[in-house]
Order: sequence, then structure tokens, then C-alpha cells
Amino acid sequence: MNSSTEEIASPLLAALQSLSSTAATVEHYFHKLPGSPILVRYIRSSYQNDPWRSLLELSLVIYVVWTFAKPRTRGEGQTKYWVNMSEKDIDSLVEEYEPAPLVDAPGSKTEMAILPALPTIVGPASHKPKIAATGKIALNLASPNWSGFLDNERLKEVAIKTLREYGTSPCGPPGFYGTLDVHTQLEQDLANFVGQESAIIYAQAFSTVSSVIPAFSKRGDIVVVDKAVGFGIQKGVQISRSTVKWFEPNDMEDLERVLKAVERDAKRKGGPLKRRFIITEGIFENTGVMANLPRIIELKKKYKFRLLLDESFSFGMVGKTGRGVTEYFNIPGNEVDITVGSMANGLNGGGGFCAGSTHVVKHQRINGSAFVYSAALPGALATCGSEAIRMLSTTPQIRLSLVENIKILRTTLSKLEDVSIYIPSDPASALIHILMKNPPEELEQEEKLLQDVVDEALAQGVLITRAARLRGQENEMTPTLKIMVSAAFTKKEMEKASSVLKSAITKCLGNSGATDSRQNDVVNPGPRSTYLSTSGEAAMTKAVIGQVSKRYTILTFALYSSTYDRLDQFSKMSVDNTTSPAAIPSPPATLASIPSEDIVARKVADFIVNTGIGFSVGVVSSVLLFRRRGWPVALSTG
Amino acid sequence: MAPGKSRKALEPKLGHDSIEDYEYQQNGSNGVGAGHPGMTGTGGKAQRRLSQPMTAKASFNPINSARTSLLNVLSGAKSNLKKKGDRGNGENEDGKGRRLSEVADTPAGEVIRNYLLSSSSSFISASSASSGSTNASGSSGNSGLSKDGTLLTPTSSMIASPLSSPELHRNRSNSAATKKSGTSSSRLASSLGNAMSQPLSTFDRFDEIDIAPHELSDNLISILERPLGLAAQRAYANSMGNGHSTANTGGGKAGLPHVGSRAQEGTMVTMLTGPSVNGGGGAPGMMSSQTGTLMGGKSGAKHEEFGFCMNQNWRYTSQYDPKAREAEELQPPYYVLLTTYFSYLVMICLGHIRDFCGKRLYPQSYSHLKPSNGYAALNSDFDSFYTRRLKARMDDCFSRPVTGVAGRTIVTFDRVSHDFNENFHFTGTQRRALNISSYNYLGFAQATGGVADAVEAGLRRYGVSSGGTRLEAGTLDLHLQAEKLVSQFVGTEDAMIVSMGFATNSTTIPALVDKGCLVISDELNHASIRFGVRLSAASIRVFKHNDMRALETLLREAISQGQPRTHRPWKKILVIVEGLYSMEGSLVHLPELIVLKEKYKFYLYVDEAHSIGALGPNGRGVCDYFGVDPQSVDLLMGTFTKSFGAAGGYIAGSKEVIDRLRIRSHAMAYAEAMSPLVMTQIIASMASIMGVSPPLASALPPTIHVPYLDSAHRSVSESVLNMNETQMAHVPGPAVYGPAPATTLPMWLQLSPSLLNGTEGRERLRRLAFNSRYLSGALRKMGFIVYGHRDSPIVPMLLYNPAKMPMFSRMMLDRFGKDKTPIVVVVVAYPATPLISSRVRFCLSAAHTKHDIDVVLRACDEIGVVLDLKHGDKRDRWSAEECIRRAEEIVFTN
Repeated sequence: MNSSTEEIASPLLAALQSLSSTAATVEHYFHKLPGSPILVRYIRSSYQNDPWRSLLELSLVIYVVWTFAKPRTRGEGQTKYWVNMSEKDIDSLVEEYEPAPLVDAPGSKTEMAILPALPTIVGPASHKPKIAATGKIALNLASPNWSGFLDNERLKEVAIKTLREYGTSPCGPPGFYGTLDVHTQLEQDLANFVGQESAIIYAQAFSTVSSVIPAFSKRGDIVVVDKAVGFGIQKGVQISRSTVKWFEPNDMEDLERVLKAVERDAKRKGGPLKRRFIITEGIFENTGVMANLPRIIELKKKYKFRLLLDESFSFGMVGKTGRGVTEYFNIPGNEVDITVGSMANGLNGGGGFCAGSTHVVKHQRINGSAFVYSAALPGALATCGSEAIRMLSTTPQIRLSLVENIKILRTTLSKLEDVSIYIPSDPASALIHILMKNPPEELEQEEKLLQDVVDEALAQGVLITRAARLRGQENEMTPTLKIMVSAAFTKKEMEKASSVLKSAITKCLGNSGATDSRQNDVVNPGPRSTYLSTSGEAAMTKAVIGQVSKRYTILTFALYSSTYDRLDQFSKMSVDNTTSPAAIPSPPATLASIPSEDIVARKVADFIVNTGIGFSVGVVSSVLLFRRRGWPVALSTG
Repeated sequence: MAPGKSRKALEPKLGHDSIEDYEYQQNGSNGVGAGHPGMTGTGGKAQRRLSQPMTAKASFNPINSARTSLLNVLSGAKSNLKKKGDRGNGENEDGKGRRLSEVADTPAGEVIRNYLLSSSSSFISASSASSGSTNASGSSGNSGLSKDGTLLTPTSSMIASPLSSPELHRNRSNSAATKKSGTSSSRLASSLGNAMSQPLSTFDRFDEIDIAPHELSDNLISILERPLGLAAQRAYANSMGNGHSTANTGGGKAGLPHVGSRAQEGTMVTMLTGPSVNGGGGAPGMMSSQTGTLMGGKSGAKHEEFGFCMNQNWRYTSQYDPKAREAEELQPPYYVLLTTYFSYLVMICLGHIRDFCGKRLYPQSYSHLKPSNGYAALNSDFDSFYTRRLKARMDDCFSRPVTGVAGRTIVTFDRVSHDFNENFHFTGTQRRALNISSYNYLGFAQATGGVADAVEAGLRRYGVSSGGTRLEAGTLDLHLQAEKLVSQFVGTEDAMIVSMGFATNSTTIPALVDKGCLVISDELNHASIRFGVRLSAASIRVFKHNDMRALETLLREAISQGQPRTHRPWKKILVIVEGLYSMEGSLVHLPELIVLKEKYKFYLYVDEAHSIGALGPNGRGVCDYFGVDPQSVDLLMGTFTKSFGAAGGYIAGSKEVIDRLRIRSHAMAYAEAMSPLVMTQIIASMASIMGVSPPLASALPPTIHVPYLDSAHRSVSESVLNMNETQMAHVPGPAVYGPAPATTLPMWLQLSPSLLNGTEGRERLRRLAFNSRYLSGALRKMGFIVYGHRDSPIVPMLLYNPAKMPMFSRMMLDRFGKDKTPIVVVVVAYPATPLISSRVRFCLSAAHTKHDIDVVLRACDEIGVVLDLKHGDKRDRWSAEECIRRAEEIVFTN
């Protein structure tokens, strides 16, 4: 290093000398550092006359330093799209920036008319509430009050009793002292009632299903969803980021086609087994159609899918004692893997629940985001739920009068069916959607006409509603009238309500609008599908968001088919393959296969072993400790 | 990271003389019975005297003596069981178990009562005063005592007629406890005694009164916690045009241990619980005392739900003080960090080994983690590794089942696990523990008291469900009233309410932003916000927690670069922050944000889930705290679970925005509307914080002078105490925070006067503020590492090592120290916090008394030594006892 020859010019010599002295000083101080001998020894031993190796190590060190120094957020000059700008430019851009208003102006007239037209109930909600607009009592066919528990005195007493013992709210999430004994009790009651092993309650019915789905179905998993499902499922599916396959509303052939396609696809692609779910509703919130549960169960078993059944609008409504569609079809509750239901609708309390096997429920206690991150259900609502279940199971006559009332309404309306209206809903369903048979071309106009029916009915003392929709945020549905029958009505009241409804429909819809162009859109049995399917151009022109269509195009068509054995028989499917993504490669095997004499081979083996171990340690530590950052992998590989 | 880098959080400097006063105050009740010479005059005189500056010593007396005398009244009531008619002579010895039935009769007692009454601003009106004296004292001929009113009557009469003290003196001589009182209190004692599942020692204790636990039990407590009485209710009822306000539905029906000692016409009704007071509504203009924090209502609040604390020194106003130094976040020594990492490493290794062996040896226990039968595993073993192998080890610290009210105390079920926390079995025993875990900031989690009464009335009227979604048929008049009230509370044009707090965020954000919009979110934002943003399809960028500089850099980048690739400008930028971060206890820098907002033209969405009600001189959240106009924030979101003891959440903003959200938000169209039960709780609790105008009183209470020890904090606290009803709740800040107009409240809603005039609400705010500062300050002083803002009711204390979490939680529950009060705490760890900074999170409440916090401090001290938790500031540490003694110093020093 410090050799000097005469040939070197003196200025250069001086420079060299100063350089060497600096180096010496650095070396001196370096040796003074604690631990420096270790470092020196390590470098020396690792050098091993192999400059490439050292180079590799050096580059790894540089990489680690670089990843450390790198900013953690995205952007900041990393992408090739980055535009460098001076502070001044940015300032002027900031000054010029004109954001859009926080909310866009109300779009259509119907949208603006929604809020003023909302019926406000004065006093308690019941089957005969007082409406603010008319100042009169109206028959309430708009609340989910199937069993007539809406203003039940017994529930009130139970609620008051609970209030006086538990206060209003548990003031905390279930994990942090928000789990009351009444919650546990209700969970048990629910599980017993729907015939599942165990249940978990959420504080809001709407948020239940959109939280349950992402708890199980992750990215890469496959969900097969009915196109007509309610909004909660749509959002749950969206947030789960799973691969979504839609099937035509309650169309079992289409479902089988999709299931087959999924299976073929899986076979073709291979890879680890994915979680696969069929997601559908017992009674569809959007149409009132009842799912063909026996067939779905058959298919799910055949193709080895799990079934998530949302009974939000069938729990408390159908079945001998109101246990939902499983009871209606006489299917044991535990045939369904995950049952979701609503205490707000079915029991006139509040909150939702999810029932299933112990594992299903236990998993949600930590992974159901609306469960974990939300305050627990008020105690009074929990005891009301338990009491309502008790009332449901002990008084089957509730169901009888409900069935009777539905029958009255359906018979009355049947005269109008296929004349001016179309009812897709199941005859057993207390939730009845009414569509216009010959709607005008404009969606807006159709909504207006339906609103006229609502107003007319209210003027005559019957409260019904249009189904509330969030156009632009969901799978588009045709506008419908939404009617919910209650067991609380006497026969006379129900007859009155039916005739009012009939006359209102005749008056407002009549046979008008027959000059329709959409009559050709008939898809399914019945004159019109409630679902404006992706092929329904008329609907698609209406600023429909493309979510469904986008997802729908994802549908892949592969050409395999096979049949699997039934669930209870052990198939030959590999039981293995369970290892996690960070599967640790097994280096010893690699080592053993290499002849020991060969020095090069040995080095290679060493390299592979070390790198392998290091890599796997890195992966593990990265995943477990460092939020999956890259540098620990690089570091330990090095 | 450097161990020695830590800086002091606070360093109060106070003279020793003041400490003496503290001690004095702790000791309590010197010279009460004897009566201060200066205080034996007429009530009026005393009042005047009180209003003049006094020495610290003298001025403490009224408070303490009031406390003592009240207590004495109580213990007297009890003692009367044995010694009927025994008249004490007003002597007062220090020490436990004193029995002074008649202290209240002493002039000092009268003065005290006047003092207390006026200090709590519940002094109703001059007219009621005169009517009180005429009817009450006149009819029974004995204003001092009623037939069954027992010992509290002097109070009442004093309150009713503060200026007619000669009469009082005369009556005082007549006053004696009657047999009747004895019987009624014995009934009470027995019924209440049985009511509790377990006898309590600690929780029966009044905060600052030194008295043996056995002396006090619930019955006595409930005596203290009576409503203001009929005069006020009547006055208000008249003003509301509602007539008489004595609907007596009674807690008794609901299985509560109230004994309604039916009052007789024309007598002073003072005994026991609310129902009796209201039920005996024959005597117009009568009043019973309303002392300090006592909760009015048909059913008096229970001490175990809402602690009784009368010391006005233990109040603080939560308000932004620009001069205050922000507490430094301290770093632990390296060895703590290393051992923490090492612990995780060991646990992870062990976990993997267990998994490896377990899968081979016990395949059936892993069946749900493996594909079987053609089904993929329901949850992958890798994803659930943390849950199964790390969290499961301390599962007994989470989701402990409880029963009853999550108030000041809570009853937990004891449980054991025989299979390594896989399943738990109840032992059948219960434990009442001090609850420093629930989000019960203002202590409205109550099954008794005025708000609960209102909720019961609401339930009777409305039932439990509102039937349907808001956009269909689920809109009740109650919804509109609640929304109106919320917007007034928050100070915005309009507001909408959603039936679940989580859903408020997760269903509204997608209605606000969509593709082409940018959401800039604090890295520690709540899961519901992330959920909502993910649903919205908007782009999201995250900035470092509470770092306004990082936010500005990010904003500049976002605006200058525009959307990725296309460089099109963002349609709009929405910055979402939380007011108070639930895991850190840190406060958003709102004033700076507003400045940034003006410059960068983003929209601001502040999630006030934890801060609403808990912060600010008027309890209106961070805007109130910082004195920022709430209308300068575009959207204020908050929840009702925390401060209001209800459920659900709200979004408040301009009418245009809210109306748009009403038809765009998912929850409005598809989620069930809020339950009337919950709404009544919201309306009642919110109204009681705001106060209701027209205010009750025309007469202003005399100015109260409560001297504090050092003049530094005097200004704030004094100005607070000097307020009267008409100035109600108008400490600084924008003048948008007014009382709720009576017209916005439901006509049927009956609230007790202390709720109506906002005194109770204010007391709660002040108590919470004191408690928050006290605990966080004291823990810092004791050498713990505590995160967060000093005014935050959330106090996270760092534990670091994972094994210390379950240990801490269990040790707090099974206390080993001198005082074995069990305490339930919340320990949180990854993923809610960064991996290494596991912590215990205390949530304070207005329901806690100072004594409760003393208990927590002592417990932390004991356990902190054992678990080696004191890694904070090494200099100038105080012992727990010293912190307790110098509580005011800790709270009032910046």
C-alpha cells in the first residue's frame, strides 16, 4: 500500500502518503472498536480466496443498507412515472389544485325526492304506527315484523329488566369486558334454535355478513355467489378480495355450471387446495325468492364447497317455528356450514348472528372485524333476542297467522299479477317484492310510478315502501315495491291492507306503460327477472357500476369435469400439502445427494444449504416480525 | 432508542406548605362538628363569607366537613337502628366508624350544604327556596326533620331556604331522628345488603372520607344519591308545559333493590332512593339536597356504578393549553427490547415445534387446519399461528365474561382452563372488580340514575326496535330528534346516526369517495376506517402517526404527482384522522391540520370515536378542546358507545353533505335503524352534558370561591366553578356550543334538574379530566413508560415483554397487596400495537373516584416492581403514596 517509487510525482506521493496515514488512523481506531476483531476474523474466514463470494456478500450488505434507507411509503420517486418538480412548481400546483366537491350534487329527481318522501313514524314502531305525514294510524307493511314482536309488551318488560341490571351498553368490545352473560346466553339460544353447534353475535345485522365473509374467504379463495344477493354479501365479497364467480339468481343449473368450471379450473392449475364457498341467501332480500336449498346442499356436497347461507330475511319468518329455510325444507341446520342471520329482522331486536361449528365461530372471535372492533350488543337487545326465540319456539300459532296473512295478500294480488305487476317472491315469503310488469323505459319514471303507489297506499292508511337502493354502489336491481307481511294483523286488517294495495296498484300502474321495450328482457321463469343482469342492456345504460360485469368476465371456462365422492367418504385427495407459504425447504436432503469428494460440489452444497437456511430464517422472521418486509430475507440469506 | 435519552414528562414544583394542605385535605374532617367559628352564622352570611377569599385551610373545611357531615348523616341513619332518637352534639372525631347523627344539624353543616349546593350550581331558584321553607318546615312544624325523612332533612330545608336560617336554628333544636326513619333505613339496609352478589369492601368506600368500610354500604350510598327533588322538577316541568313530573315507574319493579319509603304529604321527603322522592310528590316545592356529583333521577345512582366523589378540588377542565409541554415518549432500556424480541422468538419456535409434533401425534386436533375430504382448511394454520400459539397463552385475559353494569366496577365470572386455554370452565364464583377498562368515559354506563330512568321511559314508550332501515320504514321521530340533538352537540348543521359505530365508518366512507379519489389516513387509524376505505375503491396513502410534517410532504406529493401513471389530479383528497387514538392515547394536532387543510384544500374527516364527550371544556371533542370551529372540519364522526354509554355512531357536517350521505350511505339503505332504547340513552346523556335551555333557574348562585393551593391553576378552575347556569357550558372556543333547546327534546322525556341544568354533565366532564391527568401524570411520576396525551382518558402503559401481559392482567385481578381490590385491565399487543410495545390500557371514567385511581396506582406500583416495569424517567421518581398525596400537584401542573 505505502510503497513509493521514484517514478511517482511528488504531489501524487504526498497524496498517497496522506491517504495511507488516513488508512492507518482508520485502522487504528477500528481496532479500538469493541468487537472489531470478531468482524475481522469473520471477514477473513469468509473470504476463503473467493472474491466472488465476498462480492456477493458485499452486494447483499449494500442491498440491506439500501432497503433500510429506502422510504417506506410507496411513491417518492420510485416509479418510472415519477415527475421531478421543484418546490416552486409544487407550490403553484398546490395553489391551482381544485378538488371536486365533497359530495356530488344529487343526481336525479327521484334521488332528491327520497328524503322528503320518507315516512316518519311518530311514537313507537308497530304494526299500526302513527305516520307523521298523514297524522293517522297506518297498517305497517314496511317493517320486518313477521312475528309481530315489534311492540311486544313482553319484550319491553324483558328489556327494562335487563336495562336495570346491565345498563344500556356494555361500553366496550367483546374482547375487553364487553362479553356479558346475556350475550353468551343468546349465542347458545341461537345455536340451539338454528341447529348449529355454536353461534356468535354481532352488534348490527347488516355488518354481520360483510364481516363474516372476509373472515374466511381470503385472497385467492373462490366464492360462488348468487347474482341477486343482498348488499351486505356484495360488500363482503368485495372486501374479501376473493375470486368471485356469479351465478344466475337461484338458477341451479347455472350454479352447477359454475361449480364445474371452478373444479376444472382448479384441476388444470393444480396448486394447493383453495377454500371454496357458495354464498347465497335463504330468502333473497332483493327479490323475496327462496333459495333452492336442497339442491344447493346437494351440489355443495358434490363439488366440495362450503355453504354460507344468509338467513337475514328468512330467520324468524319461514319454517314451522321460524328457524329459517333449513326448517322449511326440513334440512338439519348443521348441513349449512355458516349460517348468518339477523336478530333485527327476525326477532325485532337488534344485531346479527353467525352460527356454525365451534371452529367457525371461534375463528370469528378474533377475525370477524365487525365483531372484534365494535362495541358489543346492548344487553337489553340480547335478552330480547333470547326471549323472542323462546316466544317463537313456544307459540307456533304466530307462524300460522303469518302464513294466513301472506295468503290473503297473495290471493288479492294474484288478480293483478301478469296484468300490471309481477311478483318474483316465494309464496311462503313474508317479504314480497312487486315489480312493474310493463315498466316505462326510464328507470327514473319507473321509480316515480312505484312511489306513486306508495303514496297512494299511505293516503289510504297502508304503509309500504319502495325498496331502498344505492344506485351506483351495488349490483343493479330493478325498482320494486317492498311489502312485509306481519303476523300481527288480524284477518280483517290484512284484507283491508290487501285491497288498499290492490286499488293503489291498479290506480297508479293500471295497464299503463304497456308501450314497453323491455319485455324482451325475460330471462328466467316468470315474465321478468328482478335482476338486471349484465346482459340487460337497458339497465346497463344507467350508470351501472361495472363491478359485476367485471367480475363476471373473470369467469373462466375450462374443460375438465369430474365427480367427487360424497363428503363422508374419504377421497383420495391429498391430505398433505398443508404447509404454509413459508414452507421451509429441507436442506439436508440436498446435502446428502452430493458426493463429498468434489470440492466444488461441496461448496455449492454449502452455499445452497446456507442460503437455504438463511433464506428460510429470513422469510420466517420477515413474515413474523417485520411485517413482510424484504430486507430480513436478504440479510439472513446473506 | 437510547436508554438514557428519556426526558421528564413533568416536573411540578410546589412548595411544602401546599403539601401540608394536601395532607390536611386528605385527613378530611377536622373541626367540622365543632363548627368553624366563622361559619356558624346564618346561611346567608356564611355564603357570603365563603365567597370571599380565604386561607387554604379554612376553605377546605367546608368541603371536607360537608363530606364528613353527609357521611355522618348516613352513618347516623344506620346508627339510628340501634340508638333511636339519640342526638349527637355535633362532635366530630377523626377516625373510623364515627357515628354522628346530627352533624348535619350544626350550623357548619348547614353552611356546608349551602355551599355544596351552590357549588354544584343546582341551586334552583329563589322562589323554590321560599316555597320550600313555607311548606316543608311549616307543615311538619319541624323543618329540620320530617317524619320519615330522617336526617337529611335539615339539608333539604337549608337548601330550600338558604336565607331563613333563624328558622333553621329553631328547627334544628327540634330535630331528632325518629323511629320511622330507623325502620325505613333498616328495610333499606337489608334489601340493599342482599342485593349485591358479594359484599364489597373497597367499593363501598367513599372516596376521600376516612371511614371503615363496614360503616358504609349501598344503602347509605344511595341515600346520598338522591335527585334534586320536586321543586326543580316541577319548575322545569312547568316551563316545559308538561305539568307534574312524577311518573313513578320505579326501579323496584325492575327487580332493583330500592325501597320506596313513601313520603307523606307535606313532609320533607328525603329518604333513600329516587322513587320515594318522586313518588311522594305531594309537597310542592320541596327539595332534597343535591350534592356535588350525586346523580339525580328517580332511582339514585349506585356507588358501584358511579363513584361518589365530592371534593371539588378533584376536578379539572380538559382544555388545550398551548404552554403545556407535551409528554415525551420514553424508550425502554435495550435489554427490555432484546428480551422482548427474544421472548417472541422463543414462543414462535416453540409454537412451530408444537405444531410440527402436534400434527403428527394428534392429527384430529389439527383437522380444521388441514385440508380434509376435499375441503381446504377453513383457516390456514399459518394465518392462525399467532392466535393459536401466542395469543392462546393469555386467552384468559381476553373476553372475560362479565355481568352487570360496566360502570365504575364490574362483576367478572371466574373461570379456569384445564386444557391450555382451549376451553374455559366457570368456577361458579364471581368477583366485583374495579373497572378501568370499559369505554365509559363519562360514566353513563348506569342501570340507575336519571339517564337510566329516561331510557326506561323510552323503552315503555317505544319498545326495542324501530322496525326496518332508515330509508324504508325505520325512521321514528326519535331518530330525527336524536340527529338534531347530535348536530347541536357537535356544533354542525346536521348529523345522521347509524346503529353501529364500526358501520358508521365502514358504510359512510364508500359513500364519500370512489375511484380517482385519494384517502390519506393516519397509520394508526381504526380498522373500521380501513374497512370503509377498502370498500370505496379509492386510493389510499398512509402517513406516520400524528406527524403533520409527513402529512404535508405526502400532500405535496399527492397534489403534484396526481394519480398514478396518468398524473391526472385527484378528484378529491380526504384526510382521515382520529381525534383520540384508542391504543396510543395521542391527540390529533387539529389546529395544524386546519392550517394544512386551508393550504392544500383537502377534506377533513375526524373520527371522534373516543374523543367526543371525553375532551374539551364542554365535552364536545377535539374541536372543543383546541377551540377550533367544528364547522371548519368537513365531517365529524363519532360513536355513542364510549362517552354516552349507548351504541352506534354519528356523522356530522354541513346539511348538504349529510343529506347526500343519507341517501348514499350503505347503512341508511340497508342496515337496521337505531334502536329506540339506545337513542333515548343518547338523547338523555347528551342533553345532560349540554344542559337544556330554557335553564331552570332565574336566580344565580352566588359566586363560589374554591381556592386551590397554587395560583397557577386557579384561573382555569375558578372560572369553571364561577359559572352559573345561564353561562352554562360556555367556556371559550367558538360560541357554537350552547345548551340543547328544550324543544328539540322529546316531550315525554323527563330528566332530573341536575341533568337538565347541565350540572351533572359538567361534573362528569371535570371529574374525567381530573382522573385522566391524575393517572397518567402519576404513572409517569412513578417511573412507568406511559404513552399519550396527558388529557387523554386513555392511558396506555407500556409492558414490552409479552409474558408480562398476562402476568400483569392476572396480578391486577388477584391482587396481593395490602388492599386486595381486584382490578380488571385491558392488555393489548400485536396486532393492535407494534410487536414489541405490548401495553396495558387504562380507560378512565368520570365514575372513578380519586380513591379508585389511588388503588390503581398502588397496584401498579406493587406489580410494577415485581414485573420490572419502571423503565421510565429515573430522576425524581415519586412513590405511589407521594403521588397520591400530591395528586392535585400532578394534575394542575403543566
